[in-house]
Amino acid sequence: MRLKRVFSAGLVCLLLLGAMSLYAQEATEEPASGVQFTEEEIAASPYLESLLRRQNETYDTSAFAKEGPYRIALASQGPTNSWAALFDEHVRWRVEELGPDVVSELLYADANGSADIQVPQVEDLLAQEPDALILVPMGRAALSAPVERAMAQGVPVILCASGVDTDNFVTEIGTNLYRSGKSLAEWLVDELGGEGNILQMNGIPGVDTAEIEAQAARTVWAANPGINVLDEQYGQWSTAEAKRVMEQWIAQFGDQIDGIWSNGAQMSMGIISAYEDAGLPIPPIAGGEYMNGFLRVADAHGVEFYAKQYPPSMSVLCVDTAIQVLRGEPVQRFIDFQDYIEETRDFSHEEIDEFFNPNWSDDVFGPVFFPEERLAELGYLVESSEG
Amino acid sequence: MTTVAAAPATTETRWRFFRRNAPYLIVYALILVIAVFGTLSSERFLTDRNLLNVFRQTAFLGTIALGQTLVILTGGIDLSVGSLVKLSVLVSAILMNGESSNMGVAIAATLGLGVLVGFIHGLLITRLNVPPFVVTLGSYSILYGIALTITTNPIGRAAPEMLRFYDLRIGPIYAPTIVFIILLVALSFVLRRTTFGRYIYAVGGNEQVARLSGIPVKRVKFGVYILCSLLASLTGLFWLSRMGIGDPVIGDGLELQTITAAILGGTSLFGGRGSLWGTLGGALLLSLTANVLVVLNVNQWIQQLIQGAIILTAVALYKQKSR
Repeated sequence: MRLKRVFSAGLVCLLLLGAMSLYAQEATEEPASGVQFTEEEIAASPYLESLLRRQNETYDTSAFAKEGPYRIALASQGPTNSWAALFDEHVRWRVEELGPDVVSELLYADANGSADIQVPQVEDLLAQEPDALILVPMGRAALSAPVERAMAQGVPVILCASGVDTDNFVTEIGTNLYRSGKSLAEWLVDELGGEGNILQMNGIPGVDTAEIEAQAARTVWAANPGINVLDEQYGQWSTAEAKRVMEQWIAQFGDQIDGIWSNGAQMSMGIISAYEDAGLPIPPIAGGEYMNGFLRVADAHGVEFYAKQYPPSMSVLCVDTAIQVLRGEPVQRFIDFQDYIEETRDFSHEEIDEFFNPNWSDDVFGPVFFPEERLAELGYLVESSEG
Repeated sequence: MTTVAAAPATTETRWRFFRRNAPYLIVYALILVIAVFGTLSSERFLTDRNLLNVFRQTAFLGTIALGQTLVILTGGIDLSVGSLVKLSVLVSAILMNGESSNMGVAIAATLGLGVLVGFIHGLLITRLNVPPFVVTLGSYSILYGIALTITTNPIGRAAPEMLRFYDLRIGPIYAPTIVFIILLVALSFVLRRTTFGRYIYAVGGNEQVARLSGIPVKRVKFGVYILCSLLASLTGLFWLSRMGIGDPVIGDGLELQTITAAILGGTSLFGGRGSLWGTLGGALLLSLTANVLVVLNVNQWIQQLIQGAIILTAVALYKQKSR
C-alpha cells in the first residue's frame, strides 16, 4: 500500500516535471524577441519601466508555501467570446492534467466581462478560502483594493492577461505590449527598406493596451526618417470600423500607401476586405495575430504580414505559476509568456503553414494545447469538406 | 359560544395576514429555498464568513434599491441611478485624492451631487410634467456622458479611512451592512409612521385623488427623487471604499437590478403598493443567488437565466396569492 503511494507520488512528480518542461524551456535563458529598448524609451513609458523592473524582480513566495493538493480560484472574464472561452478551457484542461493530487478543486467565477460583477465575485471566491487566486481583471482600478484584500488575507494573487493599479500582488502573466507594437513597426520598416508611406490604425482611444502599442510604433517611425506616416486613426478593434476607415484611406491616398501598421488581427481583416472591394493590391500589413480567421484570409490573398500574439492559452502558465507559488518557489514579478511558450513567438507570412489550421474555425486563437476533441466540444472545429 | 365564534375569525385573520403579506412571504421563502440549496450543495456556503460577505454585498444593491422603491411607490421610476453611482465614484475619488483631510469635503460634495441630481429630476417631473421615465432616461445618458468625459481611465484615490470603512466590523457585522440597516429602519419608519410616508403611498395609489385631498404631490415627488439620488451617491461612496480608486467601469446596469429588487419584494410598478422590507428581501435574494452560483461554479449566462426565472416565479406566485 505504502509502496503504491510512493510510486504514485513519484509518477505524479515525473509527469509534472515533464509537463513543466514543455513550457519552461531553454527559452528562459534567451528571450524570444531581440527587440532592444533605449534609455529614453524606458524613461518615456511608465508601463515599460514598470514591466522591465518587475521582470528582473523575484517574489519570495515562502510565506504562501503549503502542502497540496490545492484549491485554486479563477476569477475569469467568462466565455463572452472565443478568446475567453479558450482561456477558460485551457485552465480546466491544465487542472485535469495536473490531477486531483495537485489541484483538488478549481473554484470558478465568470464575470461576463464586467467589473461590476467581478468585484463581488472575488469576494465570494475569497469567502471560500482558496489557496491561490488567479484573476483576469476586468478593471485596472476596480480590482485594486480587492487584490490587496486577498493578499492581506494570505491568498496569493496571480494576475493573468491584464494588470491592476497596485503593486501588491505576487506576479502578472502577459507580454510586453510595448515590444509587440515596436516589433510590428520594425518589421514594416525592414519590409519597406526603410522608406515609404505608411498608415497607423490603433485600437480604442484611451485603452491602455492600444495606447502603449501605438506609442511604441511612433518611436520607430521617429527613428526612421524615410518613413512617412500619412495618417493615424482608431479602428476600435472592430473589423467593420477598420474597413470603414480603410475605405476612406484608400479614397484619400489611393496607391500611395506602401504599408499599414494595425493594432490587431480583427482590424487587419477589415483592412484586407476594404482592399479586396477596391480591387487594389494589398500592401504589407504589420498587425496579424495567431487567429485562424485572419490567417485564412491572409493566406487566401497572399498578404505579407507580421503577427504578434496574445494567446488565451497563456492561462496554462497562470495555473502553473499558481502551483509554483504554493510550493514556495520564487517567481518573476512579471512573466512574459513568450519566454516560456515557444509557440507564442511573433511570426510572419513566411511561417503561415506552421500556424494556420484548416480544421479550426475562424475564431480560434492559437496555440491550442488540449486535444482537438475538446475544441470540437466547444464548437471550434469546422466540418471537413471530404467528410 | 365565544369559542365557536372566535374560530372562524382567527382563520379569517390568518388568511388576511397571508394575503396582505404574500409578496414578503414569497420572497423570504425563496431566500430560504436558495439558502437550503446552497447549504446542501456546498459546505462552504453556510459559513459565517460567506454569509457576512453576502450581507455586505446586499448593502450595496439594497441601499440604492431603497431609494428606487420610494420612487416606484409614487408611481415613478429612476433609470439614472447606475450612471449617478459611476459619477459619484469618480467625483469622490478625485476630490479625496488619497488624503484623509479631503475626506469630509469629498463626501459632502458627492452627497451634494446626489441632492442636486434629485432636485433637477423633481423639477423636470413636477414643473414641466415630463414623465419620470423620460427624465431619468435622459439624465442616465447625461450623467454617463459626464462621467466618461471626466475620464475613461482610473482616477483619484480613496482616503485610507474610506478603505478601512469597508472592512470595519462592529461585532461580527461589516460597517456597510450596518449603515444599510440603519437606513432601512429609518426609512421604514418614515414610510409607515410619518405624514410624508403616508403621502408617498397616496400619490402612488391615485395621484388625482391625492391632489384633490390637498396632499402636496409635487413636494412629495421632489422628496422621493432627492432621496433616491442621495442614496445612489452614497452607494458611489460605498463603491469607492470597496475599490480604492475611482474606476469609470462601475455602475452599469444597476438601475435594472434595483428595479428588480423592488419588484421581487412585492412593490407594484404602478405605485401605491410595496414596502422597504420587501425590497430588503429582493436585494438579499439577488445577492444570495449570485453568491450561491459562484460557490457552485456556474456560468454567468446561466446565472442570468436563473435570476430571470426567480423574478417570474416570484411575480407569478404573488399574482396567484393576491387573487
